[in-house]
Amino acid sequence: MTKVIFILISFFQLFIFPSQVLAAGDISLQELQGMGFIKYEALNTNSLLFFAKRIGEKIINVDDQTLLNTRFNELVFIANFRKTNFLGEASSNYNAIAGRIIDGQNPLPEDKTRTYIKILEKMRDLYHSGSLPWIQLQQSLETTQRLI
Amino acid sequence: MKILILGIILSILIRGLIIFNGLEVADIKNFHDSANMLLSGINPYLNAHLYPYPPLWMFFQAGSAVLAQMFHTSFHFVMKFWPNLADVLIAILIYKKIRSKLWSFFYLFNPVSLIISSAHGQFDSIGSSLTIFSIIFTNPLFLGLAISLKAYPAMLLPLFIFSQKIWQRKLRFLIFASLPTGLLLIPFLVLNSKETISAIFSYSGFGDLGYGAVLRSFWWQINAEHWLPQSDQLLSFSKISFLAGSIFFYITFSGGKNLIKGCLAVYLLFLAVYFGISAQYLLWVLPLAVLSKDKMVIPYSIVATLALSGFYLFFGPEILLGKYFYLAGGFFQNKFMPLYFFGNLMLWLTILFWLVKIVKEQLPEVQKFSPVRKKLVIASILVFIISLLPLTSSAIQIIRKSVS
Repeated sequence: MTKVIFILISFFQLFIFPSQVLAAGDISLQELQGMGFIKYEALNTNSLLFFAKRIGEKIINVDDQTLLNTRFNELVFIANFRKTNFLGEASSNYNAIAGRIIDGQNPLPEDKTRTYIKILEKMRDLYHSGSLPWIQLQQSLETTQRLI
Repeated sequence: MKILILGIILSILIRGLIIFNGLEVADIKNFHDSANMLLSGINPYLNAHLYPYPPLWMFFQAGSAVLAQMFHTSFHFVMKFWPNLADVLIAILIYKKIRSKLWSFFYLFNPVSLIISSAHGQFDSIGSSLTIFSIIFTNPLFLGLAISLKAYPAMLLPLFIFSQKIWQRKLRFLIFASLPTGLLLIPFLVLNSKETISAIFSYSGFGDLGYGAVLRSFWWQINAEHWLPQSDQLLSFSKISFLAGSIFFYITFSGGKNLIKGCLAVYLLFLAVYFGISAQYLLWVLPLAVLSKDKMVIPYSIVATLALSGFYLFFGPEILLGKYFYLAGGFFQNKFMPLYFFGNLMLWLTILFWLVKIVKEQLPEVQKFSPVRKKLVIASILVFIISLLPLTSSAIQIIRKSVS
């Protein structure tokens, strides 16, 4: 039984923490951290276990600002590692929470919002102007600008 | 008997409801197109994409097209009638053979059978019913007819042949089981031999279910690509592994008292090892497992239903949901990928567990084998294990690429 558990844990480890074994993205983590980015999420929009993370957030009832930060980290991961087919979902997820904060009573601190804008501009500029990923990131950027 | 009839009526109502809700899409659309080809005097084998089966099924297709026109009804209503009729027939055969209404109902209301025959409209249940006829009546013609509909029962042919005691009977079984396909193929071979042979033998499946689906799910994580670039390589490796594995199973199960268990083991080996598993292949084991009252069919049915739901919701919601396909929100929805992945992972692990269990149950029989046969068993299992190495190595490479 112990052997079975060990094999299962080793197997699932491969895709539970993919970002820990990832090669560097277009922009290095150090450079991003220099701009105010903290860390990538362990589970991102492309992960097979992403649904479990979303369920967990619903159960724990995470506040919108923490949730926005999580969605932001996921968006940066997807954009920086050019997982463009997941960008629409990552961007929509981020925009939805940002929209909730815009409509709500608890605004995001301005310095944090400016950090988001700076990083999102950097991410957007990784792609050709007018391309679908560029447009998706531009939408997220414009939504973030409304947070100020 | 009354309860059995009531069960059959209720199952027909459920199946009718699914069929009524269905659409003429996917394979059913291909069936209609190839029926029109035949009715127009064109060899359906000229379009291998439309018709990769042995010849008999095309006459069902053409007949269904004529009936649909005659009764002014949809083609898919008539086309789905045949596999569902076969399902009812299998349930009756199960009752006749093992005298258990419960097992009979288990098949009749099994979601795998309902999905494949009523929603998808694939006709594997017809091949399975003819295979069961062949087992019960030890008649090679039934197996021959099954093979002339769809090639998959051919993998059981060595078990049937070696279940015969004397060489004349073995030869007779081989000839009669090959006769229907051989005879039916003649006109098509005369017309277009190259295209006909190519159409029948070129189809290798797509890796929609089983470990193929698990690998495709891993690959999906890179950038939402649902086709594995290494599919051709995996298909080739898995064909060799299945061939090597089946030799082990033929040697281990041939001539045994339990032909059904042997057939079940070969189908399970196929599902466990072969890469190109399509949705309808999951139906093959059901009637055999029910006939042998193997309780592993219960967890298998549960995980197979999950795997099938994940597959259809992700790749073809219109096949599963029919007119209500829009409820899925479109094709290739990321939200269904976890169901597809976990459903197939559980399915593959269940199949492996089941296969090992059947082999373990057969071990006391192996002890009674002659020394030469025992050596053959050991040699064949070694060859099988070696044949798995390139397949395993490719699978590990895919997983590593998917997460790096």
